[in-house]
Amino acid sequence: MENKIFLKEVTKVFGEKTTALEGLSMEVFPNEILCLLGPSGCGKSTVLNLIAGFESPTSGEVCLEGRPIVRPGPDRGVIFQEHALFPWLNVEQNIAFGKKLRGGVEDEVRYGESVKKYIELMGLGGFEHHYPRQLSGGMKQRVAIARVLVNEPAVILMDEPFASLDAQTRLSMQMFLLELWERLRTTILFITHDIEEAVFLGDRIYVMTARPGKTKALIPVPLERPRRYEMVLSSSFNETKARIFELIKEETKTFRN
Amino acid sequence: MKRTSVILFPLISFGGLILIWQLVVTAGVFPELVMPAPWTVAKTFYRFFAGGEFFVHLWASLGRIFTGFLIGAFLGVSLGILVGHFRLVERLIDPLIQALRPIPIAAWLPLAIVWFGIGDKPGIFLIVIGAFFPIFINTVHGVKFTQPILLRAAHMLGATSWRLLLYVVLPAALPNILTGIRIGMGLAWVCVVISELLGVTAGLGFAIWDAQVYLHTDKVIVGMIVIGAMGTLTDRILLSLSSRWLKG
Repeated sequence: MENKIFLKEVTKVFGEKTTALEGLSMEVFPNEILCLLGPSGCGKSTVLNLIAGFESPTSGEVCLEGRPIVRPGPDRGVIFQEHALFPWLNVEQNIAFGKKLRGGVEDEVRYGESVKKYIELMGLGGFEHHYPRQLSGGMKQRVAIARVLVNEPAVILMDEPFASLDAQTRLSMQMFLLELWERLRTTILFITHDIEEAVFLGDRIYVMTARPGKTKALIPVPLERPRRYEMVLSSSFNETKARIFELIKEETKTFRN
Repeated sequence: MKRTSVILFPLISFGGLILIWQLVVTAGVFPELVMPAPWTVAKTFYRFFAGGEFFVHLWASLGRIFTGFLIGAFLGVSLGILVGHFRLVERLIDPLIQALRPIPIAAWLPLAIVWFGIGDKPGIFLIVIGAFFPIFINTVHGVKFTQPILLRAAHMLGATSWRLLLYVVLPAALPNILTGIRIGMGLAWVCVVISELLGVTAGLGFAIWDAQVYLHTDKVIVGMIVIGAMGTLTDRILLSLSSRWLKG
């Protein structure tokens, strides 16, 4: 199968000494949810920043649809851990802002309809004129998702997007993301340190080593789609979770020594 | 209770000042020519308005202030954004600006007159300089402290460089820019009074310098009160405008 994102032997060194990634290779296939899981400080976010184009690799290749990534762009929608909405724009303006930043190269009418469509799809109807500070954490992230979807990205890159939400909101956002994926089948790279979240959402999971980060194991998730909440009680869910837990435990030990 | 204290307490302090003033006059510490009575000042105040003289001076000063302030604000905001955003521009321009900044505004006046002669221009020049520095410094600060994540989000959405500055960096720095604009407007009033010492025949500053020459101390005080009131008024207008802009 043709891959969507492809990293080959990627090394990233910050400054003189800090090697964040060393010889990391991975690929993301079209229409899958790929989770990248690892202990804190392992360089997960660096991987995302390289794909997003915020940073460039010290050596190695980072490609989207076979072409090397050189700069950030709307074909790779990023959902940050903090919502990163523009506080002076309301919900509707935030979602439509990409077009303005790019100089309005898109068809006005079609883009406008698209903005409306994603406001509805994200359950934001009635909140079009609210400002980010008037929204709950979960709603802010839904606006952030709508803001990238409206640009019809090739992939969505999510950097621990639900980590700062409370447990109940996190669960409902996970369910929401799964429903959304069932409808749109967009390729998603999902970064998390939460094992359960990775197993519940992902088709495949890359477990990372401690710093300098590379992929330690690739775990396929043996759960069918559409995912349902009851699946967290199944034995295959728990076996996968236990297997990953062992892998992570090894890494946290290495990290301490 | 709160309402009464808002009105009553200032009434006590203002009333107290006027009372002390009247007592000093009555005691004859200074001659009437140097220290006019409150009532004399009040009458002069009325004449200043009723005779239309006030408006002639007000328009002359306001014209200089707005011209100079707009130029100074435009330069301060645009240079501030460039210096705050581009490291290279900062290295190039910032040392120069920091070297010029400690020169007191009044020290520019002789040069302003040599360069621009008499009339409005030296005053406008002085106001440009006075308004520029606080607006520039606050803009740089606001731009530098723009959350990096907002810049990343804008790049991710495909922002081109000048649109990034106009649509993201500028609004993100707006609270600081507006603080600079208020300070800059305050300094514009300082500059207009200093500049009207020489080379002009109208203006609130001219009015008090002129009155002082003829020892019309009452008129000097009236002019001071008017300048203070106008400074407060412009500041309040800017404050209400900025709180409206920052609501979003």
